[in-house]
Amino acid sequence: MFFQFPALLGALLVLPGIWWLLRAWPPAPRTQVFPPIALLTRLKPAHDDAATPPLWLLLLRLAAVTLLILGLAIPVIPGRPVPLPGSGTLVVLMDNGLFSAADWPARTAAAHAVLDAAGHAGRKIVLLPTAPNGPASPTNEPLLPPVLSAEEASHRLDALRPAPWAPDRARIAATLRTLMAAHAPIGAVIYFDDGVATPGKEGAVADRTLAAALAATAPIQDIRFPDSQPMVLTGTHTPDEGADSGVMAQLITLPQAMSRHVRIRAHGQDGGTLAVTDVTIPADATSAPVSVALPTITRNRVDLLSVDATPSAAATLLLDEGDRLRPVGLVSASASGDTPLVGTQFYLRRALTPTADLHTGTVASLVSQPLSVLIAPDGSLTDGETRKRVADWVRKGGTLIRFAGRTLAGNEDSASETDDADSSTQKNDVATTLLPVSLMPTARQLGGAMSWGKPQPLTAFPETSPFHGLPIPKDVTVSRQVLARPAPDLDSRTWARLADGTPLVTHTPLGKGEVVLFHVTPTADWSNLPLSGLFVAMLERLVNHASGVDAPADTAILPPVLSLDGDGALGPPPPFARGLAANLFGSTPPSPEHPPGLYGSRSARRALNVGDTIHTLSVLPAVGVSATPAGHQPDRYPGPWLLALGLLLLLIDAIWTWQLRGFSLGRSSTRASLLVLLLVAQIPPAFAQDAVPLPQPSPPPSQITEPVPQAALETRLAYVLTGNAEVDSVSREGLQGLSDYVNARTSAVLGHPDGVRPGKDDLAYYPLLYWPITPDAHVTPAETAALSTFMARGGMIVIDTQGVDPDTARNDETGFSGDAPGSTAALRRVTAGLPIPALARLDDHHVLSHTFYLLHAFPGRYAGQPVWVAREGEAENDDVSPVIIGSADWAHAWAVDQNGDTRFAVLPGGDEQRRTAYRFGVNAVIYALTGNYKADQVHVPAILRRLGE
Amino acid sequence: MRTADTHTSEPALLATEADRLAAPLPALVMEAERIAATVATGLHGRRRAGPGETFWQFRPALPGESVSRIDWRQSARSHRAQARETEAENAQTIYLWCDLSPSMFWRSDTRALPLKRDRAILLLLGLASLLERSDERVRLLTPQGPAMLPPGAGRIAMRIGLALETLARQDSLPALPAAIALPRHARLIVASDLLCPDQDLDALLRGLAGNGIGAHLIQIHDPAERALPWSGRVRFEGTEGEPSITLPRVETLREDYGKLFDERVRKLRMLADRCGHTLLTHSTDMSAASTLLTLGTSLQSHRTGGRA
Repeated sequence: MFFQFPALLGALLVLPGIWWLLRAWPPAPRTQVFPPIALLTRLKPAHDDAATPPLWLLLLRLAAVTLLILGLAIPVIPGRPVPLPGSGTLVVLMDNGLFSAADWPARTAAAHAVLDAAGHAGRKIVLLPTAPNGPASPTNEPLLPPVLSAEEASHRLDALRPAPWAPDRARIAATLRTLMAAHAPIGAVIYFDDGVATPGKEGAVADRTLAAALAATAPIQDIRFPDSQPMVLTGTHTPDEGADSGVMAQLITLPQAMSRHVRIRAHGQDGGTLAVTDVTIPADATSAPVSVALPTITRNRVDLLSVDATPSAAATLLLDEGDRLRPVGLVSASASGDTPLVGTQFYLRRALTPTADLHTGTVASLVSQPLSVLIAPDGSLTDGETRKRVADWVRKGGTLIRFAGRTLAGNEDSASETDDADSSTQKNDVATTLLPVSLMPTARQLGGAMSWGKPQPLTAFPETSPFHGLPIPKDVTVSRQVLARPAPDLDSRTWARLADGTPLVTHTPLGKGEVVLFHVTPTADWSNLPLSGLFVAMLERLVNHASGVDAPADTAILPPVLSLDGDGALGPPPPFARGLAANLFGSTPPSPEHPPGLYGSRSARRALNVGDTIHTLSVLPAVGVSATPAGHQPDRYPGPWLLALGLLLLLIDAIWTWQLRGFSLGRSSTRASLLVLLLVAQIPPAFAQDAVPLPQPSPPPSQITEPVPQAALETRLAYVLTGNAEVDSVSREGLQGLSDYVNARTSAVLGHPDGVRPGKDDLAYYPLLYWPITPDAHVTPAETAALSTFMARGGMIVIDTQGVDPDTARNDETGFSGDAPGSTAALRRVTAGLPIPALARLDDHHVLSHTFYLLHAFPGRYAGQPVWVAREGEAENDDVSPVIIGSADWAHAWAVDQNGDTRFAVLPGGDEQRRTAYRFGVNAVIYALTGNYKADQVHVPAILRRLGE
Repeated sequence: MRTADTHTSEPALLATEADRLAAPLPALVMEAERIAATVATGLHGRRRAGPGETFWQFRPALPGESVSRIDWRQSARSHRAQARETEAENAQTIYLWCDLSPSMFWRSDTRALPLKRDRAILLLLGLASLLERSDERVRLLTPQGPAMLPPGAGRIAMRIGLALETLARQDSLPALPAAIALPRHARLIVASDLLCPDQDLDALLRGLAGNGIGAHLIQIHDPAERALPWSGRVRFEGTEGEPSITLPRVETLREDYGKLFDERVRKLRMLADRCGHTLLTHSTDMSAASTLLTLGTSLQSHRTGGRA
């Protein structure tokens, strides 16, 4: 140990003076008023040496002063002397590339130890970082590195940061050779390597070149860090395991004998953490999939994946627009759509699944969902009403992608009709036919036994096409297509055409949206386009195009916007960064010219990642004498700790003195002093941070402390609150009566009913919703949306007008009923936005009439009223009707007040009617709970008979 | 602050001090009467016929009874002569003395403990209330002789309290009463911390005994005056102009001081006993009611013993 300012130690001479002073000046006494002071005068104090402070206090003060003096003299504890090989100029080779960021502090500490030892030995240093800090000089001639003193080299080392690209070992080899030529006596080389072979095809050559150059130079000590775990995050390359399993990336690392756990964070655009996932790398494995379980909407907001706790450019994966899962609706025209190899959805589904969030369903259900793209195979848009609906949707900004097929090709009649129509009504035609161009009446057959022509290949995509730049495989041919009728603007509407010039993909804008038509089927029968990768790429382009993203794939130069530094932090790109051609993304390794980061404008943003070009990692073969950094310790400076300890002792002394003089800690002035002392106590850690970098504590994940809703713990019925107190109270009593009846008669256990407000309360807990329609009922769009979601997710709504509107009552109805004027209009008003399927009158063949009781009538308070349910074979939800609409006023029939009495008489009356009303309620509840279970049971005898045969 | 309170030589200061005394007076009176009511249930009054002025009862005249005792108006209502009896009264006056010197204006803990002066007043007022219930005559003794209690009806405790308040406005009050001529066989209650020189007390007690006056001394002290709870180096200051004294390591002197204090109490008790007086020690952290009960019992036995 030595001191940087030994002269300050002379201050230790004042210690005896302090000793004398402390003994000569006792601490001042405290003052105390005491009436019987006369008694005290008679006391004889045994000894008066209490006037001087106790010995331990004296020693404490002297120790504090000594510590302060020692601390101010800045003592230095020299590090463990590192045995330096050789003598003369020392070349320190430092890997500061991709994989050095994780253990950079340990790396620099070890290097500092070497530099300190070299400084003590008086040796000169040549510091060579292997990763370039800028683009190579145009002459490509290696610069001669300067020979530095140990102190200068230490400063340069402090300024060195890990680079976000791979070390250029070949260039270092050249530099070493130049150095050898210029400075003949090179004593030794110490190489702090990162243990990872240079990735890429040329990597092994570069590594060998460096090893050879080193071997020719001087004795080598190769210091390797055994704890370093290089990790690379790379995008998924196997589309099959893409969307479904939530795999967003692959983690590549060097194999180890132990399995490891790595935590990956998914960050959003604002840098916030959206998800944290733990990845287990099995023993001896080199890669592990990173699956992030997130809903698609949230998943699409993920902009960046990073490995927790080891920030580096390699362990960071930037996501661009191409990695988003776009919501795409696929209209299922028929049940056979997904038949392997021949179904209309088969190829579409497989082409879209890796890159899109695919929703399948009918047009009605898809249009109500937030989608940007709707794909309609042939035959799904035959209905005029459906077409009108889709046209409305397209006008609002949707993109409709249609495929040709037999239905479209056989559309001669309608086509000829449009042919007769005036060309000025062309615009209307698009809205009604939903075709971008008018079609010739028949399909064109190319090739085949009766044709001279041959199947046509595709020609290059025009500049204006979103497909521009996609490579066209030679073997993609089209043998059959629907033909566009020649028109002046046909050329501008064509995005892809065959070699003979006939359009293959056409488009036209409609409102804010667009209609796109593939003139072939999405199956392999008209062309082999769906079999090719081009089909996947075209669909991906279209889907991105629909979201306002036009990522070019040609040679357009994308300028760098944001770039990653060596620690994996996004920032402005360095001044020497240059743009990169769009078609080179994915094959260009990061370099000073092209640092990893985001390139291009907002609509065509591409990400250049380290993981784009690194698919495996391998260990760098060691050169020279291997060593570990263990035992290498740089000089330490205990000065701040001594100062802190000295101040702490003085603090203890001050507190003790205060206690002695009778101040309690409760007083405000003392409290303020204590605060000051605590502030002073904060200073030593701040000093200490100069010496030892403290790990930053990561914030604990926020905990969700939301109580579980009661309705989630038991099954409950619910009714829609209308705002009319009387109606709501009857609804509650009615459902309470029904719940009690169900509990008594069936094995279902229902809790007490809840009143809900759609759009405000979460409806997800309730199987059945009773909705009394009052004449003044109104719904907001939010309520409609909530009820639609409720129905789409399998909920059932019992809509009850509670009486018949006399204005619309039909004379042939014979039932007794109360008047509910205006209820029909109200019913139309409130159900306008709901996805109510086609309705049929409930008869005793419907499942609802035999889910529990066998019923032939469905009375409520009023008997004989018709009840409407979804027509069988129409509803989506396993043929379970999402609505029961009637006017029989069931709530009044079921209502049981607090005394257990039924408050309302039934019309025409009788216990039988009330019992039947209850039984209908039981059937409805069981129907809501079990779905079409009973419908299946109908078929049990037939199935059994078939088994017996 | 504490020192300013104790050195109250200025009349103006004393006046404010008296105001300060008057402020808690209703509370003190209430408290005193409450304690007195508690204690009174344990004592018995002197409700019996005897020499006095208040009507007690009629009874048939006995043969040979003095004619002057027959109540003729009452006898006219019946056929027998009715003698009129009055309630027994023994007009023994009890004088109260309260030490209002600056040393009484002190307490060691401003939150948990009352001033010694307040406790003295509380005890005296409670005693006055108690004595009034048993029809004794209570008077307040001041340096100028027996005080004229404020006229008017009202509770005796309130009247004595008002008189004390007037008294506290005066300057330089002595700790002990001067040897003023009191009626023989009167009783004197002295509430004080008895921090005066012993010879003063001895002279007073002897003078009282010579006059046939029984005195009951209540020595009131703060618990800190007995325990000396401080430690370290402390400079002590008196309340009545005594020179201050600095003591090192007070915690080592605590035992010696305790012995000194006990010895003084023993000496005071010896002085009192020698002249037939009683001494009662009361610490301000003790309950006032129990001291009052002891005092009441002691008064009672002293009086009955004296009469027998």
